[in-house]
Amino acid sequence: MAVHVALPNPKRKDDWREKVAAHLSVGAIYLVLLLGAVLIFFPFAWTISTSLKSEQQTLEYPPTWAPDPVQWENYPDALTARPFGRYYVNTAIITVLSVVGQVVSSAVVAYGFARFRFPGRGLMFLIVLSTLMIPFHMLIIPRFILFKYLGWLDTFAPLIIPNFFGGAFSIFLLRQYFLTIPLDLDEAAKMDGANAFQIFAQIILPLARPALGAVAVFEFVSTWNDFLGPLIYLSSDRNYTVSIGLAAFRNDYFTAWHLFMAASAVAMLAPLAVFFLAQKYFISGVALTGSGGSKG
Amino acid sequence: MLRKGKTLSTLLVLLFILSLGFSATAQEGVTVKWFMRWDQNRVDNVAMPVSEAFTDETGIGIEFENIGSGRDYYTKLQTTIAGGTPPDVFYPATHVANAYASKGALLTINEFVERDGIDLSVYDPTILENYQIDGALHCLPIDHAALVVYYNKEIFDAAGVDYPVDGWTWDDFLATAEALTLDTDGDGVTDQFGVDTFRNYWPMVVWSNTDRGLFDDKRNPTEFYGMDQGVIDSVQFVADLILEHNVMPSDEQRADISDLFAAGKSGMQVVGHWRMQRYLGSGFDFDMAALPLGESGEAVNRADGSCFAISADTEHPEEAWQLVKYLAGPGSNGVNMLLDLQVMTPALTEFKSDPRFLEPELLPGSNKAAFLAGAGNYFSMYDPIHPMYSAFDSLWKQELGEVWIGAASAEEAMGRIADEVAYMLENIADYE
Repeated sequence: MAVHVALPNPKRKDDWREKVAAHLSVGAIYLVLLLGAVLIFFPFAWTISTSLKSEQQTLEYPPTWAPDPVQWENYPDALTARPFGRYYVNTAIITVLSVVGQVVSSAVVAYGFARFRFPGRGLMFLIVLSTLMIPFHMLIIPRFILFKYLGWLDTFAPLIIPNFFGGAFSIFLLRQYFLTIPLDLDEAAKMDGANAFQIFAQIILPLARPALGAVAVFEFVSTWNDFLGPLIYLSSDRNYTVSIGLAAFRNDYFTAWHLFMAASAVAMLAPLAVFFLAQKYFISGVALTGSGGSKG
Repeated sequence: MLRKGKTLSTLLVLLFILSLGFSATAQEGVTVKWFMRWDQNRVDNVAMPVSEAFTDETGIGIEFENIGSGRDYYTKLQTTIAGGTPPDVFYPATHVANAYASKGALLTINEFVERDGIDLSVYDPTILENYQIDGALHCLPIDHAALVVYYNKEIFDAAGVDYPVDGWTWDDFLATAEALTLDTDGDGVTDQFGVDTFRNYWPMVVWSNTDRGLFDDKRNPTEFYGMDQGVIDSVQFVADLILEHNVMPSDEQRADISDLFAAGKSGMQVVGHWRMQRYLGSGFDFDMAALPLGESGEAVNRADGSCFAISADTEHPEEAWQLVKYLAGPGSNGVNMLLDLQVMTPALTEFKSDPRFLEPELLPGSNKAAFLAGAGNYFSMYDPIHPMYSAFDSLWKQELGEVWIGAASAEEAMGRIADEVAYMLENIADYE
């Protein structure tokens, strides 16, 4: 570095050009990101705007952006139209337990695949992955029958318990991450007398926080928004989730868009909060696994 | 170290126990499961009071569940039927009732009808016939989805156009729609359409022109009339409302607005009774006219609707029948309450002439009789009433999709549909 500074710089002009080019390319990146952000933000803004319109205004043609007058009462109206408080609690119970189940069980399985050599490991991993290819609609009826025999219909069990048996995608994601953690660490711990479970709990898990965070957020969002599962397995109003409650604003002939959007906006709060709180882990987890992992 | 491991496993075990704790409580006494796809208005104002009154009168409990969207409703219904835990009483549309009945999923109710001395002639015969296969009656109909032309009197007055009269024709309809279509600010974009889109009701135009359905036999179809000139012309007429005359909006022009008529942006709307509540709340003056007459000169309308059916697997056939009778039998309490809501055209003839239906307080002086036009010439929108319908439905939606955007003529599309249908009819046993 010092040598470079000491030398006369015959390419000062090019340097300037490079700087401009660098600025321009940064500018271009920001522009693309900004456009992307606007694109992503658009439906959200529409939700908020519609949630404050009068029913008549939601029907206006051509559609308008600004609510006029602003109807704040859509929020209390929507949230009291159905027992959303209860739906929220139900959804929270199902989601939190599902996330815990998914993270814990998938981590255990992923650890096995990442760290133990046993006959048929490759084949078993392939079988686990192949479950990703089965369309959910094919499983609806067999699973329904299974849960019927277990006596779990109209309970939260069918929505929670399966998560305690690992998820193929989570297992895959965690295994890939675990593979990037140097074996030296395991060996060092082993030298200190740690057993396999201790290595898992005290070496691997703390190091895999970004990946665990990513799995947790994926699971949170998908469970929170799940509609088909609760639709099929739950039948009493007291057990309904937020997504089922939202559907009450829609039927074949009519959608109360202003109330639907108001309730949707509130329903979005929890996943949004989780995303913002966990985004550090989430994004690095996705980035790391996506780019083949990082050492150390 | 060890303690942490223990804590984790204890937590796991606790979570399992906790989740298992949310188990259903056992039912006591006879309770009938009643599964509906109504809007909240009907749930609150009919389903709830009817359930209470029924339980008070009969001592039979009702476990009510409602899923408003038809698609979600049928997903769940089908899963529970296949899974062996169907609701006792449910609410299929005509073609679904028929598909379920042909698979043996519906209880035949002839015995109950005879035992309780129910005179079936109180139902419109064409409507009742939709639910009878080889003499076996599978459910009691509640309504039929009769179509009318709603029109916005204020828009008509502003354009100086006469209100529709009985016996008007599709030519009159087109002329009216043209007079109502306006580009108010002169920017070349239509601001007010003559009629909101009704293209999916194209079979109704076919009936009016040919006075017959799309197949030779709605139950056991052997021939498809798709290549008849009357059918082709009818489809092209609907397409031309969009493409040539620009009196009906294209998808693009509608911009996903759910109802242009309710938004005050179309002079007319072709739809059934179920939208009326919404128009009542829209604040403009409107009325109904009977569907225009076609080439045949005969008034026509829809026979299909929904019925209350009992699952073949029910453990409480008697109690389920009591509920169905209570809801849709002669003098039924369910239909009675629905009449006051102005949400449907009843299947029971006694209610068709009921002043609450014909002269509702909510719509003084209105032409409710428009919903009754076409009696004797009822057809099913889901034609044929046969398990092959769902394949036919996706076929015409795909092919006519091209016609509505002008990418194919009605003749080309109907030609392709006819070829496919011929194959379906040859292999019709595959659908049964």
